[in-house]
Amino acid sequence: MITTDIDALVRDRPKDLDEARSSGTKIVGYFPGGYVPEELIYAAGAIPLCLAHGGDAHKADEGLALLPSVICPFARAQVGEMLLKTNPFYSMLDLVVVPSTCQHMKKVGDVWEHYGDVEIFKLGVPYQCEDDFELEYYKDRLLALRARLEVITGASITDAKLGKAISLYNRLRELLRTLSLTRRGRLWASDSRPAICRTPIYGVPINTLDFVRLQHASLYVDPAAMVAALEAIHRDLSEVSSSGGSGRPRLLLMGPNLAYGDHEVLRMIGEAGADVVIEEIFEGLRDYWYSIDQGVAPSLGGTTGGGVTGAASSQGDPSSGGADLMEVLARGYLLGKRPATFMRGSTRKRLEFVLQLIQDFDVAGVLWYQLICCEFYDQESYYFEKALRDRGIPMLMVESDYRTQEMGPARTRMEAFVEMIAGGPANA
Amino acid sequence: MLEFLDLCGFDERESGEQLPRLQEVFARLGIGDADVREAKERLHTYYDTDLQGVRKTMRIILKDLADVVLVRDEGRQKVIHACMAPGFETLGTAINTYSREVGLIYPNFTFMVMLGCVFGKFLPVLDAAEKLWLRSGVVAHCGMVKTRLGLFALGMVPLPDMTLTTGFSCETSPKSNELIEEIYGIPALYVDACQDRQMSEYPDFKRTTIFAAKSMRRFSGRVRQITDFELTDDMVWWAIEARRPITAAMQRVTHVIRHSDPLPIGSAHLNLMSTLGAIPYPVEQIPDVVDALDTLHEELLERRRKGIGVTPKGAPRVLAICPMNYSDPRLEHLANRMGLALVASDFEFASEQRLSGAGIVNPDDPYDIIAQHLHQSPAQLLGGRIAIILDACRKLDVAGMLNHYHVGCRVVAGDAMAIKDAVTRELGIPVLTFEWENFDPRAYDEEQFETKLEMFRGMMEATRDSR
Repeated sequence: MITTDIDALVRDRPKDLDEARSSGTKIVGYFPGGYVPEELIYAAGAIPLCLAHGGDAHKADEGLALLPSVICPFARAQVGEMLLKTNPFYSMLDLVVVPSTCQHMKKVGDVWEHYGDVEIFKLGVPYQCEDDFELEYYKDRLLALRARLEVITGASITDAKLGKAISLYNRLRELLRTLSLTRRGRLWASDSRPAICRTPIYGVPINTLDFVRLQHASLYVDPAAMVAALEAIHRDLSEVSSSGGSGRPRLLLMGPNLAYGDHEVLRMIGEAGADVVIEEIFEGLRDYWYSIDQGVAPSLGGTTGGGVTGAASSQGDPSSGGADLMEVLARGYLLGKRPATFMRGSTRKRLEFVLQLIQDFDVAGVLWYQLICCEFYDQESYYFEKALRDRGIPMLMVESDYRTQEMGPARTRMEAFVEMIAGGPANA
Repeated sequence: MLEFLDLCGFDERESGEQLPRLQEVFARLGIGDADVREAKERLHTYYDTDLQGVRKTMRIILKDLADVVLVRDEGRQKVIHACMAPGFETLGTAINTYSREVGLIYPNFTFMVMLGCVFGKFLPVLDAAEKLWLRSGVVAHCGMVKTRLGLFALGMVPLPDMTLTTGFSCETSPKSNELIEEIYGIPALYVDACQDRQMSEYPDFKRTTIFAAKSMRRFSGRVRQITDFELTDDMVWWAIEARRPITAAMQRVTHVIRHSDPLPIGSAHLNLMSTLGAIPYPVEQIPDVVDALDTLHEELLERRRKGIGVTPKGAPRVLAICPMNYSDPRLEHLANRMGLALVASDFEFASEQRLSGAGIVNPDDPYDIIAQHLHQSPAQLLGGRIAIILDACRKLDVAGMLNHYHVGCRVVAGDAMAIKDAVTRELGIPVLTFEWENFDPRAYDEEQFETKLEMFRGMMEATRDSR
């Protein structure tokens, strides 16, 4: 099994963290969403740890002691973890970085700051990036984070260390991207696209549940170890000339969050007779579609070039050089990738991205996995459903509060959806 | 209709002048004779129309309703629609005074008061939004955000040339404006702060206000691009100064309300104060606003001198978390009937940075001055909000706190448990906590609230007796 070794890495990770901590290494947690540069944490000699556990109604319910039920279950689960202190990943933190992304997670940051016993650093993420002051603000906050990391680790973050960290995480993203592309399911005979977009064709694509678990593992496991593990997986996947295919309907999974431990929706849709072949999720998974280019910096106005099946590389003004890595990092994280939902004016860009995914991955329908009370994505589901319907692409929304009793009706709806896409009951 | 206008503070001459205009507005809003009769009843029931100041306040809000509905008919060719944009009432005053072609409307509060509180006809607005992308149910989309969309969907406000909202606290409003742009083709402008305040910095949040000031200044640049109207710094300074008398008059009124026993006026009137503060008046309307508030001030002082009030003397004084319902006066009315004096809401309070002006970085930048509102309670991080609330409770010497948290706003809702915890621990006063919807009349359940408030009053009396 591809994921057997990865499971071991994650399973053994708390022990590694404990040992590292005993020898003075600092552990820096951060909440997901893709706006906290792990490179900076890694370059400080600390261990970056994305706090992305979810899927457990008990943990979410624990969070009700401090947050009301209108806060989404993932956010409540983070507070639940803080209160319960049973999860080793949440119990060994020296600093937690809270990016200002969605309102729910900002509130989690406030609650952790108010009630928790670990230092919190709030990383402001501007919601639009049209002018210099926004980029400067984000860069200033990164500089403040850098200063704080240097204090708590006692190590200085040199350009050399930061450059190596950037290269390491770029490699991690690249490997995940390449694996992801194996799910496209058809040959790309000729390829005139830039090198970063080209990929060897595998006859055995990775299945999405495994791929999601790999992504989750990459949030917890040492990045160098993860890179080595992914390279091993690449070696193990064989190259054949034919494209396989299950014949089952191919779906895109979309939604606000898919936490570590929240895999039920993937299992259910698999049992319903369809395959999720690609996902577009805001939090909980790693965004692997971009790379931080240390040579040049992306210009204001957003991502340039790349396209879906290649990385959105930070292409900008070559004359800017690569001297200021903090600038490169700020630009790469804020401008060099497709914008997240909370970014102003992001909806259309994300629709375009999704449509490209649908085309590239031969998707027949979209499964929208909605966490209860996520008002952002709830609003957007209306827009996406309409836009997809206008293009003949069906969409099904299933909601979750992490409770298993909701699964029955959701399963029935998924089965009906799959049947509809497949053109009727298989045994009619 | 004339009797209704009289209740709303119109004298005979003005009633005659405004009647055709208001009849046109009512026709567009689907308000008929039966509704006007109902409105008169509601005004008598929930509002102190014996006070000329209240009538004058209603007049101002009703006139704003008409101004909004007829904004294009009456000459404004470019319309900017603002929602959840604190500070933009000031920029709106500048625009509405210096330009005859461009107008900024900020209609939500006005419509909530008129359609909701006065006419009791707010549900269709919410329903219209719920049929689009702000569905009802557990997701609990904010009623304020629904109001904007519902008013557009029903054609009650003219579709603008651009929408404006802020992300000072909330992302729901910007996302809805973005969808309005995608679906209706109306350009959306956003003004933001970056919400990464750390308690270790409290109360100094200069980086937040500086960011917001720059974002607001960019708005002015966009206005010029879209409308050809240049909003200069001088105009903004002028508007800040022009509106100072409104703020001062309002503070005089709220001071009397907060520091009188018995409570001299029903708590439902507090949201009228907020509404008055949110309207982007052109300069010629400002004297009327000040006059309404000063009239009310004098009348409340008179009541205080005479010991007249809406609650018994010695009634427990209560601070509300989140403002009074903007579209439905029933809860506040019930609370007063049950002998509870809701004297203020936490939204009216700010940290010392706002009060002292210490938060201003560049006193020559009018946008920095406007951005100081970000020191107010609702814009604060949790710890800051708690500090402000504790301070307000002490200053007002309240006996309890009505912690009704607006579920539609995850920012304020998320603070509710911690606020209860802090107030109980630090002050030892009873805190009644329940889910609320600040803008939706469907949140009201008389029996349920009566039971809760009865228990709450009992707890406050017991606490007082034990001291």
